[in-house]
Amino acid sequence: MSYDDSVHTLMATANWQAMDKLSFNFGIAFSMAQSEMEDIYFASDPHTAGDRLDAATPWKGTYDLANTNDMESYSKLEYNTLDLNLEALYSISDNIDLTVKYLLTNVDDQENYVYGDESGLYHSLRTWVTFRF
Amino acid sequence: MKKHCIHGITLVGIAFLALSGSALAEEDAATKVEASVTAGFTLNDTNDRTSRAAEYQSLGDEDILPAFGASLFFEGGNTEFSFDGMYLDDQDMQFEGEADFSRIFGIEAEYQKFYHRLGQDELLNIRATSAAPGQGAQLWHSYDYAPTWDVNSDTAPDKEFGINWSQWEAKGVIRLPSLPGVQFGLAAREQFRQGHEQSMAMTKCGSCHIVSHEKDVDEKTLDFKPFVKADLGQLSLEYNFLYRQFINDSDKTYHRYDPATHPFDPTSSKYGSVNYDYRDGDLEIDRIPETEKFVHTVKAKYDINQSQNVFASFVNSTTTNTSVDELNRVADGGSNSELDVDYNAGMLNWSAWLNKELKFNISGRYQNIDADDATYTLKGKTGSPADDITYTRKSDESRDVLKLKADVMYRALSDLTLRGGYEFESINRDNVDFLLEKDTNIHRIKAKARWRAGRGLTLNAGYKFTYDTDPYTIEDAAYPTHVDLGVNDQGFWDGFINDPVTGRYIVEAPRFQAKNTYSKYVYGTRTENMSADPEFEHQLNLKANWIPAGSNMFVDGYFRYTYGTNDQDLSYDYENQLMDTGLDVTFNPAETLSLTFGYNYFNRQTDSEFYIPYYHG
Repeated sequence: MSYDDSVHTLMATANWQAMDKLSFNFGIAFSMAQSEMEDIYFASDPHTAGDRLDAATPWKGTYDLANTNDMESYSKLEYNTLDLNLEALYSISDNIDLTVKYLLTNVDDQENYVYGDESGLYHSLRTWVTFRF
Repeated sequence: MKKHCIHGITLVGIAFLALSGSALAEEDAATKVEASVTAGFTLNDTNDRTSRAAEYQSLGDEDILPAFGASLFFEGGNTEFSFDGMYLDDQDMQFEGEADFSRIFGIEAEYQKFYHRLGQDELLNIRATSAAPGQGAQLWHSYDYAPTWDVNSDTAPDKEFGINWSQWEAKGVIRLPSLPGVQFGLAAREQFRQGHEQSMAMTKCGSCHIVSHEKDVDEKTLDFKPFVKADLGQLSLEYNFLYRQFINDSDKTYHRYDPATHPFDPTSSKYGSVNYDYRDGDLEIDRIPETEKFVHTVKAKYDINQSQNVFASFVNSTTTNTSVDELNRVADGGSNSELDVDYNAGMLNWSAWLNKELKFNISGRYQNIDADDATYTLKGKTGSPADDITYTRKSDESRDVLKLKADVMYRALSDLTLRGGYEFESINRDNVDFLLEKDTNIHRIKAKARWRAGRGLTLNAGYKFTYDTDPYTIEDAAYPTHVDLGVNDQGFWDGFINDPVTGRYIVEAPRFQAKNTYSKYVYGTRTENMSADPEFEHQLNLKANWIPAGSNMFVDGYFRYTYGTNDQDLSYDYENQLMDTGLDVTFNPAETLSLTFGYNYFNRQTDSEFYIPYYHG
């Protein structure tokens, strides 16, 4: 049996002071994560033979090696995740700033294995004014 | 209503802080006051599932919400005070502040609260015993006393689990002018976890027969830590005491276990060697016991001269399971005896620059862990009290650990630094009920070099080799032989078997006779050891930093590779590999613009044996 998990992550950030009163921050990250258990093979089991466990009985061969060895992989997980954030800060005056921020997380669940389909999107727009004394 | 009240209190607080700041600024020209208030809103939305996309975002449940923040810095005379906080909603907020009065009394505090969304295992993929879609581990037979029993089921489908996590911590320090270099302090922390999570229960045949329940979570951890520190010139001393209490006020989770029966006679009223089953009614599961912990720590450092110092420390702790009295009933699987863990550790370190180029560091540490044995009373195979069996499980945690370490650093050239080290660790376990070897010795050798190659390039290379003389190995954990099982190469019963009871070789043995004794037939006939712990491990670390001359670029590359193997006393080769590598590039094309790009690749592979016994009991 072999277990293999891997994650590729790409990221980029940018900070830009566009004007004296205006600056931007930008960040993006994309990750591809997957894992799986492979090469599972059940060598022998005395319980599979004959009588109460064959396919002709009400047990329907539940424990038959022909069924258990039918799995090519096990515990297979695969997620693609995108995180994005964008922030703009504008100084309206020496004492007042305006901040606008956008956050996004998108999860693409490609295997739906253990926890069901966990694909989902979250995004948030956040705006606030800061007064300094 | 509660949310609006909190919003109101926060607004009043912000107004108070703002007005206070303005008033103080006007009172004294030497006084420095900086304050800010923040007010705004958040607009939030989600699609589909939120357990991963908004794992730590409580706001995903709300469309639009107000947001508040405030900060204050005050400096006047001998007093400093600062505060900073942000409130997003009643499940997501953070505040911190600190104050200092004449350097005699200082205090700092922090409060944080957030929501953690949890996933739910749908229990649809337990296919190790069957390839039939969605079949899980459904029993194909029923019992007179449990006609509708469904073994593999989720009692809380579609429930979105999550934990409200909150914590405050504070630390106060007193420095008396009459005792220069000495400070007395008190730190405290209280953490709360409240919500619901998925709880699972399993039976003796647990790899398949799993049931899920919704579990209430209402837990609290309290830390109380007084300390004293003394900086007495060449000598520094510190003593601290920690009292930690874990309190579990969660509602109990109950489960009614699988009906158990005699493996080959479903009409039998015997329990089939299972300790409890459906007939015992609902039993409590998945309960985290309450604990108390007392820790004493003493540290001392002595600077022998400017190039040498000695450091020593001692730790004594006792952790007590305070739920023993509540859980010592047989039906709950509790222990009949006290469950304490005592820990004692001492450490000594000597560090010295022998000259400007050569530095030595030698250290030793000894640890002793003494955990109580747990004593259980188990039901016998007939279920009758007369058949009760008292069993003492000796702790696998109890052990002595000795670690000796020597490191050397040599500045061979102005641009080249070399490091080397050797570490010896000896683990002596008190109990080895299921292990192949009780004791082990671990040798670690490491070498490292740092070279400033010039033209903005710095290279780091390191190698570490680990040899574990006796990796953690379970003895006779797998693989009965064919003659032990009474089967031929195809897995069919052939009647040629070593009798599990007498050990005598039998020809044409009846099948049921051998299978009636699981402890001997199923467990007792296993002949091979299993381990997932490397005997030899190699680790390579490479790192490079490059700042091209005259450029506005910074490049950082790294590579880590670990390879471990073990075939000691195993009938298979265990192997693991781990690679973690990446590249980061930072570029500043203009004074007002900074760009960073990064890539990371992580890969881990494990090759081992997978042994799943399954029955039809």
